[in-house]
Amino acid sequence: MPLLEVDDLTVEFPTRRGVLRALDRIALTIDSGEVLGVVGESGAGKSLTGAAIMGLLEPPGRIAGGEIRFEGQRIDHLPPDRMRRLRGRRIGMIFQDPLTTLNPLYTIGRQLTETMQTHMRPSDMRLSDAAARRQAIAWLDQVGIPAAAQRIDAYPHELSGGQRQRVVIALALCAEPALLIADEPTTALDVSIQAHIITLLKRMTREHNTAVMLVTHDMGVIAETADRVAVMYAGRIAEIGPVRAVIRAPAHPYTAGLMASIPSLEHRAERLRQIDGAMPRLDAMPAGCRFHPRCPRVFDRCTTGQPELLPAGATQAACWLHAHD
Amino acid sequence: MRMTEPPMLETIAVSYGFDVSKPILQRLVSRQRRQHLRAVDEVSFSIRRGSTFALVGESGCGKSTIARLAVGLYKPDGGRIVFEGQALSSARAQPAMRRRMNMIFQDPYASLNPRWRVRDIIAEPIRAFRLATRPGEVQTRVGSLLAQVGLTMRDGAKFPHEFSGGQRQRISIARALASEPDFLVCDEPTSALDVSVQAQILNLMRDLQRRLGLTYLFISHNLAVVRHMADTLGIMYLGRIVEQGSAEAIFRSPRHPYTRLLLDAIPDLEQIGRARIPVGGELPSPLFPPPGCPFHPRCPLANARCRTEKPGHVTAGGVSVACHAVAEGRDG
Repeated sequence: MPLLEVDDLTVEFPTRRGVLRALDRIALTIDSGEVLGVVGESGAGKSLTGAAIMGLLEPPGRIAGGEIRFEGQRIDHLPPDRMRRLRGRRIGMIFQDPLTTLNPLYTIGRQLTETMQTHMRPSDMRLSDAAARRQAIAWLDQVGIPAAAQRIDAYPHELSGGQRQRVVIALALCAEPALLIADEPTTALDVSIQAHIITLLKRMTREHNTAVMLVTHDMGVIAETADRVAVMYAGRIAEIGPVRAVIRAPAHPYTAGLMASIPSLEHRAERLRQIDGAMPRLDAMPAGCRFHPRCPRVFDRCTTGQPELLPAGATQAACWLHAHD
Repeated sequence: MRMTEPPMLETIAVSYGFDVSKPILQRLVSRQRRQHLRAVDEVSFSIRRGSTFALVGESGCGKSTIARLAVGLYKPDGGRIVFEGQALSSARAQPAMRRRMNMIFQDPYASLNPRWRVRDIIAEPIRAFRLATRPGEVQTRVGSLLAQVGLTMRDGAKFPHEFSGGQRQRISIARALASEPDFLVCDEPTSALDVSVQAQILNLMRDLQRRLGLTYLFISHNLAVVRHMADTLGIMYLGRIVEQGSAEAIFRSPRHPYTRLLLDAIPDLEQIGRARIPVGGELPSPLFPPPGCPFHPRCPLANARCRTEKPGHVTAGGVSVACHAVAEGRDG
């Protein structure tokens, strides 16, 4: 049984001008110890998928259909207090901006010990303050904060951006969650710091057998980190499969276009391949396949029927090119 | 190419600093001295007409400060900037020269006036430099500028908020081109855009360069984007250019240890699931740059000389590198 199963997840935003469907029947699974990358461009719904799983949809957004199962239990309609207990303890979160995650008024040590003491399982004995502090220092040390025993009494503003994100990772992992949802964890960081953070995330999650949902727009980060990848477009999954197959042999024309539009470090091209146009807005979704107005391989069927995920080589793609009926 | 042709823009040992001192009272109370941040430290480069020179580096390395120096928004504390053979300050004094340089900014949401229609945003430089005076003539020019960046005259009647990020960046480019410049400073023009839109904008910028013979100073932190755009480039670290030369040569065989670190740090599609050897250290505070070579605390090749003596530029294989290890042949 996968650790996390998302079935036909649909998220809607009621507005004055009608209901906007921001996520349309998203289906994915994540196993323990696995890293699932979720990529897409702004507005594709990747962060929203993470927020829906964590039960952190901003009202008036709501789950309008489908199921989310975590460790076999449905969590899509848990009461807020039970969901809160699950978050932090069993499901950890890392966001893009470490400054919004950390409380500027408390030392990082206090934030770590508080998190550990709050999220201890009831079966464990309450963690003493001294023991919690020792563990907090050990965590800071593990995520690579130099001189952890001294830095533990630092406030977030006294740390650099890269160090803050390390503290955020320590905070997310110190309750030893089974699932970690990381939303653009390295986007705000410089490349050399980003490299540290990716390495750290990979190592920590491997050591603790944590499942990771890594949401990012950066295909390079996905290539290096993820085992499998889901490519999102306009609120749907366009393609999902092993990372190597999706990058080397994409089956969906959108994935292929996305890969080709990334400038390469290896050689200088005369022109980049571009996907003309822009992603449709939620209130102006085209009929049929949502990608068809921009698709170079569009044909009759694409303009009328919406394709579901279909087997396509080593991946699954929501594209009529792969329908053999 | 004629060898006698002067470069479009040349900077000669340009330095610029910011005064980041606390207010005077606070300084007196806590007995602190004035504090000075040297954002750009003796930077020299030249940009050939019709080519793209890129500056790359991480946040705080001084690349955006150079962008502002290059269009005359800041005046250098030391060194000289020469625009087409004239000192930049005297070139800025003449409207005829001033209209020949322009800037494209990173954030297409912040750089367009939200209360103006797009056609007025684009018409402003035309009117300001009196490139056209009759209303009909101005509108014709606006129409052809919109067409050049892939928009229509109908888009001109809209407001900036009605456009996506990529389209707004097209509007910024149309406005930058309105004064018919030869030289454009582009400060992270695609950093706020999605990759498929970034490809559209980069293609557009290359097309315009070819068609109009534009010269670009291209600032970016994204090495892959720079690889695509630059003919020549400079790698910056803590206010200094540590390596510069032909982009082809630098990407093929980077010499400076920092350039190698940067190229190695980028997650790449070609390297699925690679295990990294993490590189040590973080960017030091530009307020207290390390003595000697500013990169020495993170450098695997640093020795005693690097810790005390600032390296000058040496030419190695057509590329200019500021590194003792390269100069002494210690870089393997």
